[in-house]
Amino acid sequence: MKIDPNKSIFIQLADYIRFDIYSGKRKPNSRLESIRDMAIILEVNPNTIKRVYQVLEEEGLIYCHSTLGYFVCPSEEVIQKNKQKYISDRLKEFLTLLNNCNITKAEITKIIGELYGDN
Amino acid sequence: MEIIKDTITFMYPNKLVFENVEIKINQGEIYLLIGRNGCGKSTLLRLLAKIEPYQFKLHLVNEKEISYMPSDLVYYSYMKIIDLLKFYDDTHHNFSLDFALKYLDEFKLNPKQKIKKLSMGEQKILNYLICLSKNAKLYLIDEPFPYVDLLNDEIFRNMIINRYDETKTFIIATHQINEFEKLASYCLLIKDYKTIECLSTDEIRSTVSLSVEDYFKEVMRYVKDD
Repeated sequence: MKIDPNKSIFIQLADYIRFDIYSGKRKPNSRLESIRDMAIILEVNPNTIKRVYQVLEEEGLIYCHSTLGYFVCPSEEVIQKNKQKYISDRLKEFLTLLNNCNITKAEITKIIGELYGDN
Repeated sequence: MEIIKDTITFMYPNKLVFENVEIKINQGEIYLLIGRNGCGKSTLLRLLAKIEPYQFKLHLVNEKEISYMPSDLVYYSYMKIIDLLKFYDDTHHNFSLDFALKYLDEFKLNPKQKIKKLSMGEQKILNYLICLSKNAKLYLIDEPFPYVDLLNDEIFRNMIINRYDETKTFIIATHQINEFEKLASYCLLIKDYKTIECLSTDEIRSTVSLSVEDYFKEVMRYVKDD
């Protein structure tokens, strides 16, 4: 993972783990690296990793086993729900931004279609 | 939890370094101490390490639990590395010889090498190794990076993370901000003799979308023009 020093490391890391889970790269019930190992791999502050794990745990995307560390949520359903919420939240933010340009829904869908290569 | 909360005034015989500067250090954080040349970074570390006659009130840490690495430490050149490490092991109760030897190996230094044969960078590594081999609560590291190559920097950061736990606090004074900014949770920015700002590194990144290094440049340019 490449960290951009101009952006919040916390957000970048949370997204990095999130996307690994959403995309299936990290399977349900698979174990996450320990806080220290993750900190060493990414060369970031262990406190940041801890905060990321805590937030993902609150969201239900990962869970903490008292002795074995952190694991990905076992339920595919919960993961999918979380993924949809995440995407719709991000889209909402972006649409609010687009509202400032005074653009209609039809125009937006047209651009999206073009980007996906539709005719 | 704060280990230091104090207001400092300090002067050398003919130079005022700090005047009523507030400083607060929290336990379990990694601080980057930055500022321009001659602004008092090393002096602040010397004050914290109690090398200058100044009585900081420390909480949760006692004086023996401070590990300080000066920027210009010179060892006896006729000694071998291993002799020096053994000397520390014999004289410092919290020194871990295993830790030192393990990382000595990672840095690819030969324990039997004489200190006078070491290059500048290797001497710096040795200073650093000794500083972190002590099991302390407060690590004060003064400019670890000059002369050290990029791959060794990496081992260097690993060592800090390996040493880190929630009871340990690190303060690292450096000009090579970009080497360290991912690791640091806060940066202490010495603006002038009256102000030390304490900023969360992630807050800098998310509020102004700048790396700590770029932010520092912006701020210091502004201070100069003022």
